[in-house]
Amino acid sequence: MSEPFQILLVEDNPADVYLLRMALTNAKLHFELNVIEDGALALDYVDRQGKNPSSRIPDLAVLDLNLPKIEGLEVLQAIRSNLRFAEVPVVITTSSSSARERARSMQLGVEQFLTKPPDLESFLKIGTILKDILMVKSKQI
Amino acid sequence: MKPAEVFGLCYNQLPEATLLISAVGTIQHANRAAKQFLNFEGQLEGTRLQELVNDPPEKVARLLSLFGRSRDLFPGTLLLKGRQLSTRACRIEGAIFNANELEKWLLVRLFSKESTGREFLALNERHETLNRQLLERRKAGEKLHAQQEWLRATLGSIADAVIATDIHGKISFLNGIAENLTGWKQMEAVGMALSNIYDVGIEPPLQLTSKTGHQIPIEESAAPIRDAKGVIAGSVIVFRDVSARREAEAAMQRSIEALRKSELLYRGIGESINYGIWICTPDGRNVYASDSFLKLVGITQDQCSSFGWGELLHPNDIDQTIAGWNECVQTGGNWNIEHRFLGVDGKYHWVLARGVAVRDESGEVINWAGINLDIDQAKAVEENLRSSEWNLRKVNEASMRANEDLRQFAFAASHDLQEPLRMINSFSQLLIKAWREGREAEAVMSVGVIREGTERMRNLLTDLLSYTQLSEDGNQPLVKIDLNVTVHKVIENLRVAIEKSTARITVETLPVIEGQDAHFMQLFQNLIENAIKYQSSASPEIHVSAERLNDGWKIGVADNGMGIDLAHHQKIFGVFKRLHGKSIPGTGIGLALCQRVVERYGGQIWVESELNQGATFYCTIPATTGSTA
Repeated sequence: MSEPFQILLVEDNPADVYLLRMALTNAKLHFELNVIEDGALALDYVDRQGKNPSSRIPDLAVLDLNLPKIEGLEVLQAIRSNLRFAEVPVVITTSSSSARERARSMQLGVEQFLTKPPDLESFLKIGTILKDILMVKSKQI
Repeated sequence: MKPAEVFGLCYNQLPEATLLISAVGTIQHANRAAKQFLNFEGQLEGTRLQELVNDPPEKVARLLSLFGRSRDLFPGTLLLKGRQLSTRACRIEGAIFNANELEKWLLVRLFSKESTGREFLALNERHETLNRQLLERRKAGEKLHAQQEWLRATLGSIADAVIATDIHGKISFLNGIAENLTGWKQMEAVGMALSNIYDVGIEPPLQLTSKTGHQIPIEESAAPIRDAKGVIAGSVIVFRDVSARREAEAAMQRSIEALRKSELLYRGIGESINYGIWICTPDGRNVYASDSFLKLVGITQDQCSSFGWGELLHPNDIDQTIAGWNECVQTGGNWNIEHRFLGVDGKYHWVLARGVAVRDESGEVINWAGINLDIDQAKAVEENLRSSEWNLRKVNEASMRANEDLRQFAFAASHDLQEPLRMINSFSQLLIKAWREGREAEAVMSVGVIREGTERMRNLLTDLLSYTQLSEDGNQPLVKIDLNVTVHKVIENLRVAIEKSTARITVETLPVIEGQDAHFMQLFQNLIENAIKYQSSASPEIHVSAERLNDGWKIGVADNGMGIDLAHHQKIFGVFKRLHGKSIPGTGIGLALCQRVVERYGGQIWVESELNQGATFYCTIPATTGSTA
């Protein structure tokens, strides 16, 4: 079995973390999930990993926009301006879909901008979407 | 005595040879010199002149005839008989000596040729002397004449009238002007009594009544005339027509009167409007201010002149006014200012002052003059307008802010209310799935998430209701609220949380204010609840303070909690804005609510804090709604 995909999840709602983990598992993805609960911690993480060349960079980042302390967009900006994280594919998940946030995210460069679906079945499909992104990326390499 | 006898007595002594002969040539008498000169043997008297000479009788007769017609000695020549050649030729001259009805006698003088030259020279010399004397006399006459002429011309040409009298007061001279004024000609006036032609009355002002009856206003001066020895010989009166000047004086008087009237007029006008007019010297010192102004500020003109007005200016207007006036005086520009004066009524009055530099023909500033206008009412209207404009803008801003609040609120509400709904929906599906598949732990976990979602939903709806109610109950009457009581009630409400967190709360004496109790309950409940909720590792120490400000109260709620980064000091008051995740429960409405309460009462709310250093929330409440407890 190959190395598990390293997935960074920035999400403050434990229920959503539970659902996303379920979605990834259902998609039969071999993964390791690194969960960070707020924006400030996420910034610290990106900064720390960026400075440490031997650390492992995640294969994918899933970012909730509505975060405590520091908002998701600010974390996205930090990821995109960090040399080691610059190429990491990012998927945005949000429960509100403001046009401004969507436009800003696209401008900074994200793979997908996903509104968290209100029903379980649709939410679990997120796992397939993330898997597809990871598969495409691994083939490129 | 006969002529011959007279002649004999006088002329025997003459050195010249002199004869007295009849018109026909018979010698009547000969003086001693003639007897010697002629050296005639015999009696000369009775001898005819012809007998003594060799000249033809026609020539002698012609000479005698010429002598007989001449009053001056008439010269001629004769040849005497029996003498040497050198003495024969003699010169003769003769003229009528005496003529009466009976006979004409001639005087004849005889000169030898030698003596003729000498005699001629003497005569010539005499002639010259006479001529010279004549010339001198004529010159003196001319000079005298010229002086006379000059005098005449001078008297005639001077602008004043001149009348001269002799010692008896009789007219001796009138010049042209005097003739014109009196109507009398010099020719007719000379010799008349002065009073006849110079009738000026007695009482000043002098009025000359002319010959034709005209009345002419005059001015006169008189002086005695003295002769060479200083004796008074008459008098001279010099006078002039002053009707033009009297007219000018009358005109001047009229214009002074007009000026006085116009001054009364402008002063009158000045008094008729508040606060009249003012006049200043070129260097800016007041010399006149209308009574209405002096009465307004309660100073005298003297006080006003010593810049007493400056002390009555509103403190905010003094510098600008004094500096402006000094500059104006220096540059000569127009004066235009709105300033406030302290009136005797103890109130400040708005006065518009305008003025200009008054200049003479050369452009020199001779005065400053202007008006003081009462613009209290205009200012009040302006102030009203401005304040209603300001109110309008405030209302407009408030309505714009309300709109923005509403927009944000709608957006945030849709998001924040959807979140728990999504949770409830997803986990109720998961609950069914887990229950069917017999995964008990997942089912229990799902129920927990659903309960959390519904609880959150309830809290959100409660807070939202409070928040929206704040906008609605604006028309509720204000009542006196003792904030000490309010805070006490809040602490009672939060007792469970306080005990659980072991928080210690201290409260200073708080003011009594006017408002609605519910609003201040919400304010303190949220602030104290936050202070407990966002605690640090130490147990919470909370202090509620009150500080008197000039215009109200500053209330503080201080804690020793985790503090807030400066970057978030503004953001935290936004609706649904939260800095913390699920670890610290909250709806994100509390501080928005507090802000809304405080702004509603015209105050402000802010936080002073640093991360990990605790936080103090301050709010101000204007004094119009407060008093000391």
